[in-house]
Amino acid sequence: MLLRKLAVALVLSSLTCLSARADDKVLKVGSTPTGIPFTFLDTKTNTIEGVMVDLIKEIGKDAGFKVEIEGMQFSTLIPSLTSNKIDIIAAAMYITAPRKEVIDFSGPVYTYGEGLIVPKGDSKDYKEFADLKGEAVGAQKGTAFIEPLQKTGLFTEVKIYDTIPAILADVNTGRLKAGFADKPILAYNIKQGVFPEVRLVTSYASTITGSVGIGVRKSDGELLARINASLDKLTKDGTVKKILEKWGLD
Amino acid sequence: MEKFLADARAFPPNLLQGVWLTIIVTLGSLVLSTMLGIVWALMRVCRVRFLQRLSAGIVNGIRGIPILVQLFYIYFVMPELGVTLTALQASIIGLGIAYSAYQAENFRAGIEAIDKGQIEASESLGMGWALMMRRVVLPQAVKIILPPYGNIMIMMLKDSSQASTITVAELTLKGQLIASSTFKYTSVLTMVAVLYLVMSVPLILFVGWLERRMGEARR
Repeated sequence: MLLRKLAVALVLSSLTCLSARADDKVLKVGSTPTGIPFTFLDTKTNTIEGVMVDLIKEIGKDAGFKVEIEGMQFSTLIPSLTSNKIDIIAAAMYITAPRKEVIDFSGPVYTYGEGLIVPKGDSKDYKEFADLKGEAVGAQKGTAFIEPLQKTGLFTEVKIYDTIPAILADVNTGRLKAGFADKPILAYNIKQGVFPEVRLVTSYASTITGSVGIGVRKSDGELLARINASLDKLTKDGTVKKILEKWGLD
Repeated sequence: MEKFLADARAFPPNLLQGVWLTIIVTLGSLVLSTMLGIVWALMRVCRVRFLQRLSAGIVNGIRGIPILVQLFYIYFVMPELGVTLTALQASIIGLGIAYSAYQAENFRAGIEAIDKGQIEASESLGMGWALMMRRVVLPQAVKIILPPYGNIMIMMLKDSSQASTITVAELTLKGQLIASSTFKYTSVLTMVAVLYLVMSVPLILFVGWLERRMGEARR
């Protein structure tokens, strides 16, 4: 008798749970803790903040879903999305053809290219890859910069780092002679003054440009449509521009 | 399935470069940890109280900190203290020091397992401590030490993968690299696991053989 009552209670409560979900879904959003200003861990509040976080929160408000931001390593974002650990990727992730085969992206949010950092003692005016011929360079795991760098065949090694601050730290000590990463992220890090011996090479012209976008699973076409609709609206009413300006991006 | 076979032909050459570094890291840290382990163990069993305590303190300190934390410390923190090592140096030194603690405990157990009668007999013959260790205790202790030593070797082979976190392009990092750029996680990670097995299973079989041989020899 008790077991039957328990079973009935369980079924009823799960039904109410399901109906509650349909109106007020909470979607898990994957971001990184070290991609300032796009996504970063604010150690004072212990929450992930940044351009992409503000954006996905606004999109959620407009499209009607709540978001729960989770920080994880950049290279684990896509596998986490495809294995249903998260539902949305909101990070500084380029929309690229190889990625589009595995996940879907929203419309572009912000466009930029890679930046080159060298130790401050190195004052050479590097302009392109060929200027660094024969050096070992660094790039972040899972980014769209690795393959183009490896394909040039110009570098003795393309060292792979887990995070962008790790690349900055190695250039700071001089252990790494050159590093490539998202230019806005490098600029922001250097501006904060944590890596005093690093120089962002202004003469360098980006060649691996891309636009960042919100990522969803291929099976979530409906969610993608809602995100794109909200993104359109927020672009037109100036919200996106405000968010970018808040974080110092054009 | 055909896709997996196509991958099975495309990825291994790249992964094998990682295997080479895995072997280098494993062998390098094996040599270093053995040498350091012998030092700590001999300090522990010698007759000087101060050295005994010092060795115990060092070994316990090393055992108390996760290997990963030690590697990060050596690679990312030491440069700020003026010591900048390459990733490969840092991984061999880091893993060597970390494992020297386990080696030391293993050697100490082997030495202390030698019958006290052997030591008394050596002393009654007038042998000094160093001569006794060299001619009587250590040769017998080797039989006891070898099987666990083999086990430590197997553990080091797998723990070489921790070097991936400080940018050493060994097998695990190579695998992650290929997987994260091609998104073929299943194929790539399966190949990585198989490659590790190919390296460790012969080692495991060898250690099993050692255990049987040593067991017989002691009788």
